[in-house]
Order: sequence, then C-alpha cells, then structure tokens
Amino acid sequence: MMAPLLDVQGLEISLRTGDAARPLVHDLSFRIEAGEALCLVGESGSGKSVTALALMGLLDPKKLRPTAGRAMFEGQDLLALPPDRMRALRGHRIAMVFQEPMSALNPVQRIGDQIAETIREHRGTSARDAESQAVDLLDLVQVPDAKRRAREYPHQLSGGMRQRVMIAMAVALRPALLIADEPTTALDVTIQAQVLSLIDDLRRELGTAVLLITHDLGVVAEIADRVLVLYAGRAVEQAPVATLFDAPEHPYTAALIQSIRHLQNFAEGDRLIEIPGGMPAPGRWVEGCAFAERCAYALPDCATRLPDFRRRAPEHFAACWRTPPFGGAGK
Amino acid sequence: MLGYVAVRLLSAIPVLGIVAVFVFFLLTMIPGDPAQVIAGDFASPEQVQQIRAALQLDRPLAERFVAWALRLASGDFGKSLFSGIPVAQLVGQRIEPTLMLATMTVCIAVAIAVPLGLVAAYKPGGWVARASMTVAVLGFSLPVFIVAYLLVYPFALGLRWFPVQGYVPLSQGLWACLHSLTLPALALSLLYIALIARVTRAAVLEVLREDYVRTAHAKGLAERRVLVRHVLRNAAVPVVTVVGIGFAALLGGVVVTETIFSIPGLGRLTADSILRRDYPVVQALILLFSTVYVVVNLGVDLIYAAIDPRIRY
Amino acid sequence: MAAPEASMSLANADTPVSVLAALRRRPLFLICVGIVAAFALLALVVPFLPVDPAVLNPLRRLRAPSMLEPFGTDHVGRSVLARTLWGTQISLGVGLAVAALTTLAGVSIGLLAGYIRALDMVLMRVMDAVMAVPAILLAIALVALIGAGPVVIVVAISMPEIPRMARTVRAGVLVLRELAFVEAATICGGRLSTILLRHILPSVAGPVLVQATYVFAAAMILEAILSFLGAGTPPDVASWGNMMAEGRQYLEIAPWILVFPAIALTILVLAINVIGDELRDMLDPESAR
Repeated sequence: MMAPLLDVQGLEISLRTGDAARPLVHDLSFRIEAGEALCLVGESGSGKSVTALALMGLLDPKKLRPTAGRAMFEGQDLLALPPDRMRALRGHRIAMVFQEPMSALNPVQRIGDQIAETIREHRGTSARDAESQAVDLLDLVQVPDAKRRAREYPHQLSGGMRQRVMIAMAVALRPALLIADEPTTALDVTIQAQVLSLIDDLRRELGTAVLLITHDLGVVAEIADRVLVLYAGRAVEQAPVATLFDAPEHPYTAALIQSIRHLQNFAEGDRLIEIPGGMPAPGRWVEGCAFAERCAYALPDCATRLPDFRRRAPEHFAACWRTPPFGGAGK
Repeated sequence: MLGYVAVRLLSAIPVLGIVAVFVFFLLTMIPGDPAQVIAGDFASPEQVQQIRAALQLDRPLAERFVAWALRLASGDFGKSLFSGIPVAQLVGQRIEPTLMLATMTVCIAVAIAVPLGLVAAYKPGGWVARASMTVAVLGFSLPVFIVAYLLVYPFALGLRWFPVQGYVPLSQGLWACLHSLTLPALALSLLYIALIARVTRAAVLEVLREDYVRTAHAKGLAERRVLVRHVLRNAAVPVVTVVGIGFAALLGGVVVTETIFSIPGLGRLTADSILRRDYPVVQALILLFSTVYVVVNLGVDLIYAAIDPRIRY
Repeated sequence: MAAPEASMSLANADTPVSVLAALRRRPLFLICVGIVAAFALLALVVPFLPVDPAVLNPLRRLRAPSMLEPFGTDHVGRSVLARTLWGTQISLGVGLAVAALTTLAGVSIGLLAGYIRALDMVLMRVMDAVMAVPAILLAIALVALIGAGPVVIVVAISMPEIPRMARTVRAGVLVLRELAFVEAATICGGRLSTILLRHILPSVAGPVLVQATYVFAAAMILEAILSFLGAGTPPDVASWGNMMAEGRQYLEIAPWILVFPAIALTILVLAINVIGDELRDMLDPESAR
C-alpha cells in the first residue's frame, strides 16, 4: 500500500506562556490519502485551526509551536522543515483557504495580480504569462467575466466571489493538499453551497486532497470522505462520513448530530452547539475525558481516567469508556 | 477626481484666509506705536514717519485690511522696509536653497525612517527596533541646533568632509550643491525621521496583524516580498499623512538650520526679517510657508487614491 | 487637513495595586520620573544655593572646566555651572506653563468642537490655520513683534501646540458622544457643562495627559530655539537657550559654554518624552510593543 499523502503522528501544539508550555492539541494522529477529503470538526477552541496552521508552518513561533509529533507529507516532516523549504511548499504543494474572504485578500492589489503572484513566486513565470493563467484560474473557479474581474480590487467583489478568488489562488499550482479553514462560515447560506460544491468539483478535477476544517456538520455531510472530531484539543472520534452519521461511537458526536437534526426540523441554521455547558478553555484541561462534565453518559471515573482513542470497527475510532446507543443530546 | 481636487482647493481657502487675517493683525498686536517699534529705538522721527506712511498706519484698520487684501490678491506683497526691494523679488531670490534643502531632507528622512520603522515593527525587540525607537525619542528631544553642532563638530570641523557653513548654488553643479547641504539636511531630518519612523512602526504593526498578510505567507511568498508588496503598501496611508503633517515642522526647522549654516534661503530671510521687524516680508513669508504646507497636504490627500483603490473621490 | 487623530483607547480604571505592579515592570518610567524630579528639586532650591548666575569676572573669562568651576566660565567670566542651574528654573517653568495653558485651551476647544456640531467647523478651520503656520515661525513672530516677556513667550509657544491637543480631545469626544452613558446623560437633560466636565472629560484624560507630556518637552525645546535665534527670553536671563546662543560664538575655543546647557536640556527633555511614551503604552497596551 502506498504511503498516505499526509501522515500526522502524535501532534502536540503548545501555547508558550512564560516558562511553561501549555498544550492546546494533544497527541493528534490522522492520515489523508491523495485526493481524499478529510473533515476536521470541532467547536472553536478545539484546536482545529491551530492544527491547520501548524501544518502550513504559519504558527506564530512566539506564541504557539508544535512540541511533539511529526507530519509526513510527500516524504518530508512538515514540522521539522527549515523555513525556506517550508515556504517553497506553501502555496505550491500545500495551499490554504481562510475563513474571512473579506480580510484575507490584500485590499490594495488587483485580484489578478494576487493570483499571479503565487505562480510567479514558485514558477518564475513571466508577468504576462502569470497574468493570463490567473484569468484562466478565475474561469476555473467560475468567476464570470474573468478577464475584467482580474483587474478589479477585492472591495469590488462580493464575499462569495472573493472566496472563489481565494480558492483560485490556492489551486493555482495544483497543490497535492488543500487546507480549507471554515471556508464557508462567513458566507450567505446559498453561497455556502456553491463554494462547497466548487471545492468538491476541484478536488475531483485536479485530484487535490482536501483537509476541511469546520464546526458545521452540514458542510461535513456534503464534502467529506472521512471525518475527525476534535474536542478540547483531542481526537474523540474518526470514521467514514456515512458511518459517523449513522452510528456515532462518541456521545459528543452523537449530540452534535442530534442537535443539527433538531435544528433542521424547525429552521434553517448552522449553529450546532445545543449541548449544555461549554468546552473547557484551552489550558484548563481536566485529567480524564474533557467532555465528561457535559456528557449525559459519563461514569464516575470518566473525569479522572482518559479513554484511549481505540478502534471500534475497521476505519472507526473513538475515545470513550462507554458504547452506544447514545440517545439524548446531553444532560 | 477633478471635483474632489476642486473641493479640497476650496476648503483650503478659508484656512489660508484665517492665516492671512492673523498675519495682518500681528501688526496690531504690537504694543504702542507700531511704526516706532518697527523703526527701532535709534530711528529718527523721519524714519518713523516713513514707516508709518509705508504701512498706511494713519488709516482706519478696516480700510487698511481691505486695501492689503486686495493688493495681496493681485500678487502685490509690498516692499521690504529694510531694503526697499519688492517682497516678491526678495523671496524669489531665496527660494532655491530652501527648496533644495527641503527636498533633500524629505528624501533623507523617508529613505531612513521608513525602513527603520518597518524593521522595528517586523522584528520587535531586535537591535534595529531598539535603535530606531532610540532615534525616535532622541529626534523629539534634541533641538535642531544641537543636532547641527553634533554633526558639524565631527564631520565639518574634525574630518572636514563637509563645509561648516555656506551654500553652493545649483548653478555650480547639482553635486556641489547637495554636498554643501548634506549636514543641514541631516540635522533637519532627525526630527522628521523620528516622526516618520514612529508612525511607520505603528502602521506596520497594525498591518502585520491583518489576515491578508497571513494569506501572503500561505502563498509561500518570500519575506521581503510580503513586507514590500503587502505590508508596506497597506501601511502607506498613515506614513504619507505624517510626511505631510511633518512638513510644518520641517519648514520651521528650516528657519533655524539656515541660520546656523548660513544658507541664504527663505528660513534665513524669515529669521532676519523678524528680528529687523521687516513687517511686509514677514507677512509674505508666513503666508508662503502656510500655503506650501496646505498645498503639500493637498498633494498628500491626492496620493491616498493612488495608494488605496478603496478611496475614491 | 486630514490629520490622523491620536487614537488612544480610553484609560480603564485600574486598582492602585495593579498600577503599582505595572510601574514595577517599567523601570525606565521610574528612572525618568526620578530625573525630572531631581531637576524640579534643583529648580526649587537653586535660589538658596551659593551660586550666582550674574556675577561677572572678566579676569576669569572662557576658563575650561576645573575643580573650582566644574562647568568652566563663559565669555564674561560667569560661572557656567551657576547659569546652568538657574536655567533649570526657566526651562521647567516655561515647559510647565505651556503645558498647562495648552491643556486648558486645547481641552476647552476640543470639548466644544467635539460636542457642539455648530462650532466644530469653525473651530477646526481655525485650528487647521494655526497648524499650517510652522510652530517656530509663529512663536518668533509673536515674540519679536510683541516683545519678549514671560507671558508673551508662554503664549507664543503654546499657540502652535494647541491644535494638536484640541484634535486629540475632539477625536475622543466624537467617539464618546455616541456611547450610551453620554447619550443617556444628554437625553436626561443634563446641563452641557455637566456632561462635558463630568462624563466626557475623565474619559479623555489619558490621551490628554500623554499629549500634555509631549507638549511639556516640545515647549522646552522651542524656548531654547527661540532664545537661540535671539527672540526668546531677554538676553540677560540665564536660560539654557541664551547660554547656548552665546556659546555658539565661542564654540571652537570654549565649547563648554554650549555643551553643558545642551546636555542638561537634552537629558531633561529626553526624560519627559520617555515618560510620555511610557504613559501612552500604559494607557494603551494595544499599541505597546
């Protein structure tokens, strides 16, 4: 069997506070095969964005840094790569789309130039060639009237259009891996679906693997092959998307799924947090399972004993002392 | 765009109008008989009478003001009380050195301060950051004449690289002219450097937090390219603004610098005329300096549009 | 002119304990406060010291610093040390007076312009006009034409500093005016003066304090420049600017006449500027580092 495109093993990311290093992400392991779509699901603060930034080498080293583990990508450990080698990979082999299309584009640069810039940096293409490739890319991400749009500035575009530009920029050099951090959260619901299906189309067309980060299980259902659920910096469940929705092995996942089903019954909406209580603040980890204090199925020693991330079925992992069925949404 | 320029020009008129009124009434603030004060303690009664006639001090204030404003509007600034030369001609002779000095100072200041502020923000805590903030606080703490002597002592008196004072006109070659202005321009630029470096640092610090800078890094751009194309360009508006605002300090510094270095420019003329109480010349110079300041800042406003496409007039 | 307003967040009410803790983390601030306090003390006690700035001693002119005369003597044999000590009074006095006058005038204008829309336009155009005249020019013109007296000098130096103070205050007021508590006070029919003084003024106090510190420092520099150009304190007064202006002629043979007041002025102004910077950083942690 071929090595996976990305193989993350035992990743730990810590916040530097004075002398002590406080882990935000603990012992996280996952793989992404070439062309596959993996969704990283979790509430804000669960460590999913930090994980993405760590893989991109974009953590602010003064505050956050990977303190253990490795992330093998095309035969190199992303966490140990010298900065210039990492830079050569960024935007070329691994690209990223951010959450805020409003602020993620340079307001004083024409969008065509912003796309062309990536191509020129990595390929040394002439300005004119890069420019025309940028127009082609805008066509590819279905921006109408691409030639004219390329000469416009971000403020002249709608949010959805800007996110398309971001995506065009990211796939400019046909990266092997596209990391998308909440790419649709800031968009209108109708536009969300369009952007998601664009990402999905590009994945099939270009064979790009996608690591999609979201708090929205609706997004997950639409695009993912497999899903990894994070809670308070730890993996709590991982499964193929159908399995996860049909038979969650962790009470947290089960509660999430229930909360969206519940919501869909009475209104359109993307809020999933219907579970009472809140996730413990980063750095305030409990000794055992972090979800125990909110869990309807917690046993007395859940709070003190950390469950292993164990295989429950082929391709299905979960970290819980209990086994399903999990009926209620929480306490 | 043209409409905006028109509006801005129009809005500059009241500002300059207020300056003109102020300049006119400076004379009325003189305690006692202005003609006597202007003529000085050793003047003969005839001289005093001459001045009184030249300034039309025997006429009512309002009438004088209207007449003065009308003459001003037609470009007549009167004659120097000291030399009898028309003010416009006097000023015309002195423009070149000041123009050269101011241009050179702005170039030096921007060339030093912008990189300094950029690096100070980019590498906080580094030696450049500390050095540039020291320069900034020194720039605000040293009077320009002390800076001048700090430069004259080693570089003119010691090493003799530059003249202690004097100005070589442009007609004798650009290089000789710039050489003669090096120390004055350096002395004059310190405050300006401090001002610009401070604002650049603050603006860059702000931009560095922006999402699009992270995007630029995510694209795998080289650091230098991120800094110049994405950070600096976005930080430019406040920097250009302070270059405009600081122009007033620069013009004020010109008065001192030209006096110290014996440069026959407008600043020197200003200092001399004020001390001689050569009233028409002082009026014209204050108006001229204010106009230059207002025009420079109008130019700054127009540059905004070139920097930031979101600004439309 | 489209000037950037000094954007400073409003000071939040700290407990005395946290203020002390913050001070302990800012040794530079404490050092500079110490320096300024030392100069202020000197200015207060100098009349009681056995130093006379006016005693001429033509036999001992242009003497280099020695045990007897640590700072040397000037061109008419006066003690540079004595004159430097006395100059402290002038510099600090002018600085303090200008800072006070600027604050009073700038805050009043800023409050009125920021709160009363009808006045805003007129006041700010006048401020623009004052800002358009270079400070040094404005000051020497006033002093030279009206005559050098303490009041004229203080007013002349304050004039060009007032607009920036007014703008700082106005910017703060414009933000505050929209805030709930001011709006509430307005709706409840509070008197204008009460609203301005009780509700708005305390909130802009932080930026005003910082600005006043900078004005203090700038005023001492401007006073020195005025004297240096011959349009400052009367020449017989032992001000640092006058000493430096006189020393200028003897720069090559007796540099100490210029050097000692220059050092004193630089240290004092530097200390005050650093205090301003540190205050700004303390009041607005966002902009710090």
